[in-house]
Amino acid sequence: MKENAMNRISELFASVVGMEPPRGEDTLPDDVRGWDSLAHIRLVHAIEREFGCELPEGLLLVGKPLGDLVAAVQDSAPGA
Amino acid sequence: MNSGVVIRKSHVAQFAAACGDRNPLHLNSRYSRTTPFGQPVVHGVLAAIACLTRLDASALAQFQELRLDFHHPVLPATAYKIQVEAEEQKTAVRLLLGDMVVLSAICAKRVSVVDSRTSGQTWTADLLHADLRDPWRSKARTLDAGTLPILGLEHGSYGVDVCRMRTLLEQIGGESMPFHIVSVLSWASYWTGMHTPGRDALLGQVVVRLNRIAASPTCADSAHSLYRVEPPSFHRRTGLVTIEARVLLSEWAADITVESLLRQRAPQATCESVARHLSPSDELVNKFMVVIGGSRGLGRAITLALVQLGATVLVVHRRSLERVTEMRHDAGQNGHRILSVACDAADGAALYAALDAQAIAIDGLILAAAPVIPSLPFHLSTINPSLRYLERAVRLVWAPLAACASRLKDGATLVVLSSEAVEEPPVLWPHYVSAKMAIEGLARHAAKQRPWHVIIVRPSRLWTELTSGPTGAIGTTPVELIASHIASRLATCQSWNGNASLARQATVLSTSDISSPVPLLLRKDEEHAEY
Repeated sequence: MKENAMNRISELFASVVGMEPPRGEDTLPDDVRGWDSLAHIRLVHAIEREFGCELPEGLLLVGKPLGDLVAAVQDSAPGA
Repeated sequence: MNSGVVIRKSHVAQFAAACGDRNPLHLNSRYSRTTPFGQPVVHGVLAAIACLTRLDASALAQFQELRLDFHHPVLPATAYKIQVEAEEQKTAVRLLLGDMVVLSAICAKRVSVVDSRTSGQTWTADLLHADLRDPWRSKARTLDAGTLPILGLEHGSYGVDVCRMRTLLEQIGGESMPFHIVSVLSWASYWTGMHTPGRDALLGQVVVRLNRIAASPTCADSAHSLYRVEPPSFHRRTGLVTIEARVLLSEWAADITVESLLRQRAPQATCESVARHLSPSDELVNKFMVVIGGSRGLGRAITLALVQLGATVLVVHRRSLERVTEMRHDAGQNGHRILSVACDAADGAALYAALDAQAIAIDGLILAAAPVIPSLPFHLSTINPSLRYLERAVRLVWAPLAACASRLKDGATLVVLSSEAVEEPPVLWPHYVSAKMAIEGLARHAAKQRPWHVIIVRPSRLWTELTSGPTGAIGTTPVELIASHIASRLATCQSWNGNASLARQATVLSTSDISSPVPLLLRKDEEHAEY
C-alpha cells in the first residue's frame, strides 16, 4: 500500500516539479532545484486532491523529505 | 548555450501598456513597498518572453506545449543569465541568477489533443459572438478567500496593443517571435494580474497547449482573441488558485492552465492584538523610548507594547506618517505618547539633527529597521547585490545607533533585532546572515564599551508584510508575542538603572525564550547571561 502511495506521489511530484524524486522517499528540497515553497504548495494541493485528504499544517511548509508526505497521506487515508 | 539579459523598468512599463497587465506590483513603488519584494518586480511573463527570444523563431513556432515555472521574482535592472538546453523533443530555457533558477520555460513538441469531454470546456456560440473590443480593466480586481470560490464562468475578448508589443519585442531581441505565443502569454499575464486572483496575485505556473484550428472568422489575427475561463479552483489553506481557460486566436486554440497564489497580506499589529500578549502596566511610565522602523511589522508591535507599559515612544520612520497617525488613533487616550520623526534612519546626520530638535534623553533604543530580503545565492554574479544589501542592512542599525549614542542615558537599554537565521542559515540568504552577524557584532561592542543593557533578539520566522511567504502565517511567530517579550525585558532592564554593575551586558533572546509565555520577571539565572 505504501509503495502504491509513493508511486502516485512520485508522479504528482514529477508533474509539479518537472522531475522524478531523485532519492525516492528520502528526497529533500535541497536535492531538487525546482522544489521551492511555491512548488511545494502546488504539490500539497495535488496530493490532497488526488487522495481526498487534508495534510497536517506543518507539511504546508517546504523542508521535510518526500517520505513525510507519503506517511501523512497514509495516516489520513489508510487505504492509500 | 548561455547569454545575459537585463530587463529594465521601461520594458516593464511598455509590457504593461501593451498587454494591459497593470498590476501595481509591477508599476507602483508605493504599493510594492508593502510587499515582501520591496520594489516593483518584472512581469513573470515578460521575463519568460525575454527567455524565449533566445530560441530560433521557426523552431519555437513548432512547439505545441509550453510550460513556464516561476520560482523567484525577477527584478528590473538586474543581470540574469539565460541558459538554453535543447533536446530532440523539448527545449528548456532557464533564467538564472548565479546558479539559482528564477524561472524555467519548457517547450515541447508533443501534440496535445484537446478533449472537451475531459476539460469541461466547450466552444459556445455566445463566446464566438463576444465583442472583440472588450476594454482592459484599468484597476486590478481585488479578490479574497470569500469571493474567489464563488466566481463563475467568465468569457470575453482580449487584444494586445500590437504596435507597443512589437516595439518592446524589438528592444528585447524578439522581433521574430511567433506572435500567437506572445498573445496567449500576454493574456495569461493580464488575466492573472488584473482579474483572477488580480491585485494580490503571485504567478506560479503557466501551461499552454496549442492546437492549430481552421481560421476563425471572428478573430482576425494573432493579436486578438476570445477567451473562456472556467470557475477557478481555490485551495483555501494555501491560497493556491488554479485557472483553466481556452483562448481562441485566428488560427490557434490554446488551452491554458494558470496556477497562482492569492498573496495573504500580513495584518498590522494593533493595540488589541498586542494586548492579547501583554497586560497594561505603568512599568515604563516617564521612560522615553526610540523605535527605529516603528511604524510597521515588528517595530510597530514593539511601539504599541511599550506604550502599553506606559512609555513615551518616538517612532522614526521614512515615509509612514499615515501609519503613525493610525497608531495614535488606535492607542486612544495613550495616543499622545506616540511621537514621530520622518527621517531615513540610514542617514545618521539627518537623524541626529532631527533628535536635536526634540531635545531628549533616551531610556531605550530599539533598532527594528531592516531592508527587504532578496533571495541571492552565494555566487560570483551576486557579489554586488549581496554587498549592497549588507551595507544597507548594517547601516540601518549602525547609523541610528551612532546618531542616538550621545542621547542614551547611562543604564539605557539597546535592543538589536537579529534572527534565528544566524543559527540555521537559509541557503539563499548568505547576505542576510552576514548582515545579522555584523549587527550582533556591533551590539556586543556597544555592550562592552558603553554603560547600556544590550538585548540581541533572535526571533524565528515572522509574518510581516516584508517577510510574508506563500504560506502566510503558517509556521511563523506572531510579532506581538515577540514585541511583548521585548517590552517586558526593557521594563526589567529599566528597573536595574540604579545598579551600574548590571549594565555592560549583552543578553541574547532566542526563539526558545520567545515561544514561552511572557515572563513577569526574569529568572535570576538568565538575567545576566553574558554573550
